[in-house]
Amino acid sequence: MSDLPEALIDAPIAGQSLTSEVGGWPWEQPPQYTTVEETLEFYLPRLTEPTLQNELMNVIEMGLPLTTIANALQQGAVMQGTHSLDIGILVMPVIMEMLAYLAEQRGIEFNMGTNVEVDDSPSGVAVQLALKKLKAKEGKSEEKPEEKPDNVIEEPIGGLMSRRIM
Amino acid sequence: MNVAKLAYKNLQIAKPKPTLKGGGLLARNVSEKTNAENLEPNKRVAMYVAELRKARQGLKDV
Repeated sequence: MSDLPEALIDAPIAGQSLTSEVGGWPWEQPPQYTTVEETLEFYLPRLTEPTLQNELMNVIEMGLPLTTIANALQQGAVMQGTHSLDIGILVMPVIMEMLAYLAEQRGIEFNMGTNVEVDDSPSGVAVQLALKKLKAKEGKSEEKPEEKPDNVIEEPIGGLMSRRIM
Repeated sequence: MNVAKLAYKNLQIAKPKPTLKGGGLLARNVSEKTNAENLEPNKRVAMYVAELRKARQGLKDV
């Protein structure tokens, strides 16, 4: 059990989503906006609102990728039942481009987040699995009898009282 | 997996076609603007992104 990743343990129990009443959550209701244009009309005035814009620019200046910000914005709106997930994915590039435009307007350097380098290093779980396999392999090799060289003549092992072998 | 990155990278932004029409005084003034309502949602999104990108480019040039 100790080898299991924490994320797997924290995962919801199978069928957990069926334990609450259907339609009890906002995202289980019909979305408020159903087209790309309607959804953009919802987002763009909010992005240009001075209070939110200042907050967003601070976060962008800190180096948070625009992909992450756009994703968080659309996921929040999906959870509130504003639009569906697929409309959210569709409008994400526009939100990112709008954020880039606003940052550029203010002279803030931003990280688009589209050129993220692929991390080739193995995950902790993969390393643990490889170590486990290596240990198992080593254990097997230790159990194997040692090979005897052909030239060595075996001397009879025995005490003073042992029988003579002819 | 970064969904926003995939959505942004997979946008198929159409490059502006070079106009073949002459710009003379007697040339017909036919607008080549595409009707946005008839396009697929992803193409409309690509169009909006292209417009914003162009505007952003304009900011850089100033």
